[in-house]
Amino acid sequence: MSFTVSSLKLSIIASFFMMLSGLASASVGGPSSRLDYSNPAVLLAPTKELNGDFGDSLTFDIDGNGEYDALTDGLLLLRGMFGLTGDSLISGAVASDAVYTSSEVIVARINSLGALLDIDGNGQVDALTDGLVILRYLFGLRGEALIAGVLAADATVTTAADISSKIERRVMPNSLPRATITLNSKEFIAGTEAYFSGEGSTDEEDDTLSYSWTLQSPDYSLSELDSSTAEVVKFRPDAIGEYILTLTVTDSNFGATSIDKIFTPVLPTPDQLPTFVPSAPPVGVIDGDTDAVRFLTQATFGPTVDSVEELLEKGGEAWFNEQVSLPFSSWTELRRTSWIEQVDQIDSNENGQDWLVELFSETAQSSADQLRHRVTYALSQLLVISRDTDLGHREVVFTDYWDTLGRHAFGNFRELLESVTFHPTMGHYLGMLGNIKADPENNIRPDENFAREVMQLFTIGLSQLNQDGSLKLDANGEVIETYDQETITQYAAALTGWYYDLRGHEVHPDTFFSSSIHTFPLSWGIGIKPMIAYDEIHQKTEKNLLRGYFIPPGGNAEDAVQTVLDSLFNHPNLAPFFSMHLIRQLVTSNPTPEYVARVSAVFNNNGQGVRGDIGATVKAVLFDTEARRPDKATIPLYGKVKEPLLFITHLNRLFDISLLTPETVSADNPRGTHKWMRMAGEPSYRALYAESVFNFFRPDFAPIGDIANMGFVAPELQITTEASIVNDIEMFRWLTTRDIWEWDIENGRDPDQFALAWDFSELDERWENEGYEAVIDFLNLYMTGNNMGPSYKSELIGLATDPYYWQAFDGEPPEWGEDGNGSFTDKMERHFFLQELLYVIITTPEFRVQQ
Amino acid sequence: MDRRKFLKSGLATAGLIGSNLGFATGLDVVSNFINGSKSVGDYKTLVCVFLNGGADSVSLFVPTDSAGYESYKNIRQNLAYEKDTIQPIYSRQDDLGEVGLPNFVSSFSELFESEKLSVVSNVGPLREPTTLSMIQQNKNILPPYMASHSDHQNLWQTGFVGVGERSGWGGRLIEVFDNSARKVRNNISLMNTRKFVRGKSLNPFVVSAENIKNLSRYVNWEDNSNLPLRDVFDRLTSGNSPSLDRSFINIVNSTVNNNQFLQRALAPVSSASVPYPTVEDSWGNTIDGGSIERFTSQLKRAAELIEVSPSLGHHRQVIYVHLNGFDTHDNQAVSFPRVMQLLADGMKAFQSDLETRGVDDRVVTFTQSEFGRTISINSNGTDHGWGGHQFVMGTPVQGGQIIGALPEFALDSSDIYQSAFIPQYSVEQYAANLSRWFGLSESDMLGIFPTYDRFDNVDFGLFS
Repeated sequence: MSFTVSSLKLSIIASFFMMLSGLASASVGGPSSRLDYSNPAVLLAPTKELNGDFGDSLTFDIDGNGEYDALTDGLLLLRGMFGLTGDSLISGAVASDAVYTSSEVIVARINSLGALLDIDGNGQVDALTDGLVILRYLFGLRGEALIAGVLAADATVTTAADISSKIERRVMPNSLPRATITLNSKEFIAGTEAYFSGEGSTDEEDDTLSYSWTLQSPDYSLSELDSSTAEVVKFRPDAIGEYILTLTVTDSNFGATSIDKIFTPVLPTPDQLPTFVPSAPPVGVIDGDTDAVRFLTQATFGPTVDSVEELLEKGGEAWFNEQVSLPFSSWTELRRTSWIEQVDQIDSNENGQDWLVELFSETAQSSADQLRHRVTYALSQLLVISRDTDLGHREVVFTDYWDTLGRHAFGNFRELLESVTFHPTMGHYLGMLGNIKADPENNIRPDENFAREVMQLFTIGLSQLNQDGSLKLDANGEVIETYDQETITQYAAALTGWYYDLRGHEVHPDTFFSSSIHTFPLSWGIGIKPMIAYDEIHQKTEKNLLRGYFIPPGGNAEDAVQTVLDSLFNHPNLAPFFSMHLIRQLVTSNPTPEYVARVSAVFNNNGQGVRGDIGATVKAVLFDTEARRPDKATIPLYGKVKEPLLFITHLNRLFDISLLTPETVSADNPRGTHKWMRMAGEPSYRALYAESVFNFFRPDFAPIGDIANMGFVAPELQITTEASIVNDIEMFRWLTTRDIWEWDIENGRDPDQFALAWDFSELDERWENEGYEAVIDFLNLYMTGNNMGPSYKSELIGLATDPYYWQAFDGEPPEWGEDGNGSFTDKMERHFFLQELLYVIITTPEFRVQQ
Repeated sequence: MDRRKFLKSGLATAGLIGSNLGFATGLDVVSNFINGSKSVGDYKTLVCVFLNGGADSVSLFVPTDSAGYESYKNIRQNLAYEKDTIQPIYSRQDDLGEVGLPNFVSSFSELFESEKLSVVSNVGPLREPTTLSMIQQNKNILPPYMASHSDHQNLWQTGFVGVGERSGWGGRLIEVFDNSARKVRNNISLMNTRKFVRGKSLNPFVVSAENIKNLSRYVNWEDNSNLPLRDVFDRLTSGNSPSLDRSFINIVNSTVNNNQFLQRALAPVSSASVPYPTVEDSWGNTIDGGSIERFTSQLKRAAELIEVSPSLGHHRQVIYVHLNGFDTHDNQAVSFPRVMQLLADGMKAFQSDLETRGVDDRVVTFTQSEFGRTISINSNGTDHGWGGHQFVMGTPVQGGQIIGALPEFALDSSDIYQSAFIPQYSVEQYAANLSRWFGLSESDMLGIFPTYDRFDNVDFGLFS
């Protein structure tokens, strides 16, 4: 489009300007003389929208006749800038061939130019400066004549040449810039800042470009651009979804182009574990009967004559494999098929804590899958749950928990951990059940209990470890904590959203999500089902877990739990933490670092590339040289104090301790027989009855003296105290033998319904056929694994000549017959003596410390 | 025929009498214990009541002015105690302001009013006096393993932030004194062994809260004489044993010796004549009898042990009792008031029991707990905090005081880090005040609390 100079003479032009000056002075001041640009910082960008259907070129050709004309376009502009509308705007100023003639349209077209009219660049559009200079230009004035006295005091475009070229640009067609968005970072990963640059944008006129960015993020995202106007911007994607980044590039002529680009982040790759050397556990080898007894003390609830024989016959490897493949004798099944169920049928009020004692004791005594239950018992001291809570009376929820552990005892730790996490009894115990998302307005946060204990106690512990169990130290020789409080809050948030599986059942709205014991769905015939996710109580914020595990916002509870469990399962601490626990539970309290490292290696890679194989790890613990052939000359402190339950079951099994009366369950006697109550030990250390989630004893307990001074531990001694030790031993005073018991009855005593008896037949046989010393040999082997020293043995043998015990050794029945007690036999006298003998042996470390 | 009689008759027939050593004293077989040099003529006992789980003591002191209560309720939501259940605290302090205790601890209110109970505000483990901005600049100033039950139980019982320290401050305190007159150990833990009463060289003496029993084949029940089997045991265990074995043997001997002596000493003492809480009490149906029994039986035994301290030779005694159930992450609206009521009612009964026995002038009972709880809640409970308020009770106590300013119960307060109160007093400042009453002199303070000089040597004014 060209422009023409008016043909009016200069004199007319001059008088025209004087008229205009008059106009100006008449209407000086006041905002009505200007278009509405009150804030220089916020100059209206020219908007094509205001142009309506005027096409897309913004132009000074206000009346649209194709020419730039001072007396039409220029005058219209000036009058418009003075705020004139209606007739006073257009009268005499519209060309005869104008396209646009109405004052409304003219006003709109003028307004649409917006900041384009700020010719002198002072941030304001002003009739007396910008308006006049445009008019002069359209009249053909250039140079000094163009700008004299007409530029504002704060003008930034100050030379005639610049003013000319600026106006010229406005009347020349402007090519729009090209916008491009470039991702400046290597990758686009959730949780990591990414940089985006508009630098690649170009403009044919080489204008200085300005940038305007907007970001549209997916649901739940909190991502924000750090700037909306910089050339390079950044933001941190969080949710996984589409991020639509829009860049609008504008040239100095307000020509603008936009571009959209869609980016979808990927999840970050968490820290990887190193590649572990495949480490199959050693082949199972048992060497002789001492080793067999030692092994069965470690791997079962105690050796028996038969079980030792069986083990030696099969050999360690076959025995172990067979144990793993035996069907699991679950407590649920035992409960259903045993006398317990009969009693339950008669009087369900008998359903209580006592049954867990019965189930444990019965299983320890006679289950074929000894190893599985022994491992389950060890697991129950890691993944601790306790009846010592509100739920204590609902025994079935604990039976089910034991069975859950038992089913996974030879499986994979990852699955075990998952089953425990979803178990409602654990959910109730450590608060994951009904754990509700944060409510920041009411200052409510998620419950941190399970989040903390799953890390501190179940998987990784408080301090970073080397694979041999030693503490990792930083450059200053300090222990390195595995997590801090911030981590706990992240895990707590990730673990929100779980509650009982109540599908198909009517739910009381008042108690929904309540964790009161009264809502545990037992009586609804639902059984013990794993918890399920309820999205409405799951927290949807992002969570940053350990080692780079990331949960994007907007995720669901199921995915969140999986990420939580993966982050702990794949933590380098898990192998030494778990391995040390198993070793301390089964073999010795103070393993050498080398032993721990060998077992950790199997946990890390069982020889077939699998991480977390519990069965293989157990095998590694039991068949390691430190378990089978410990070199006590080089190992500073070997062995462990047997915790009470283990020495009790050892005796129960070895001497086949059993009820003398048949199990008398009847309608008259609904309590039936609590068969094992007298041999159950103290409540505080019964299975699943720890005082707290920290188990019966702490792994780092050591009594004052050598052990503590050497830096070693003896955890089981924490519950071996002056207050506890008496009951543990005295309970064996309840026992009798069948022959004595029958003699008691014969002589007028009421049968004790709960009478339990030792079976001394093995000892009797040896005493009769081989003599008393053979009895000592038997006890030495089967009770202590041949751990009695020479002076200990000779002391016991010497009792045969101790005047106090002569009656047991005289080979004669007692002389006292005045009560008609002639039927009291010499054998019974020996049985009294054997009980004395056993009493002293079970108070000595030869029996009580497992070597 | 009773088989015990049978064996005895065999004995009589043989014409031999089992050795009768009378009863030996019950001192530790580990005889290298440190016997301190401080000699005292009077009798004093410190009773520590440990609140396991981290007690929400910070929630107990409720502002009673409307703005204060509104702000408290805003934070505590459904866990805030109803305004009409709050009883204003009587206090001898004028500047206490409007604050009250909820009705479930009315026993504490009564003790406060009768000036037998005071409160020490906001105590917790500190490496040094700590402010929020110090923490923000350097996280390492925090004690280690924040909010971990076991580790902070450890720090409280140790008495200072000393992670490697194996002894507890109660045990170290006992070791300062000349204990040569004692017949059994005077660092006593009821029911379980606990670090608090463990000395540098003294293992705790764990005393049952039930009947004191002994190994019946080693000690004759009736006259406490040794039975022959005891001698067999001694001969079997007399040789050199590896450490694990020796530790076990020591416990057996300690049991036999100490329990024997203790049983005799306790025999003439009458059982408690004042009522202790039982399951029949009004709230009893919501807490199981076993838990109540476990707590009250410990207190009763403690009262008996205090009464016989002269015959035990215990010029100084430290006794540890515990109460479980404070880890109220869940269901706190139900579980916290009831365990707190058990604590308050139990402690009040204990005080009455001591008074009835005429020994109250020499006993101070005080609480510890691994941490207070968070100011904000988790919808139905609270999580692990840091500083907590502690209760000190006894006739020697200047009751009716709150020592130290109660921290502001507001989320944006500078007294708070991660929703927990930053302790105003360290454990050692608290312990030092109790120890001073017990007889610890200033010159011995650093020996027992090695980091004590990092803190102000403040006298709480708890004792006259």
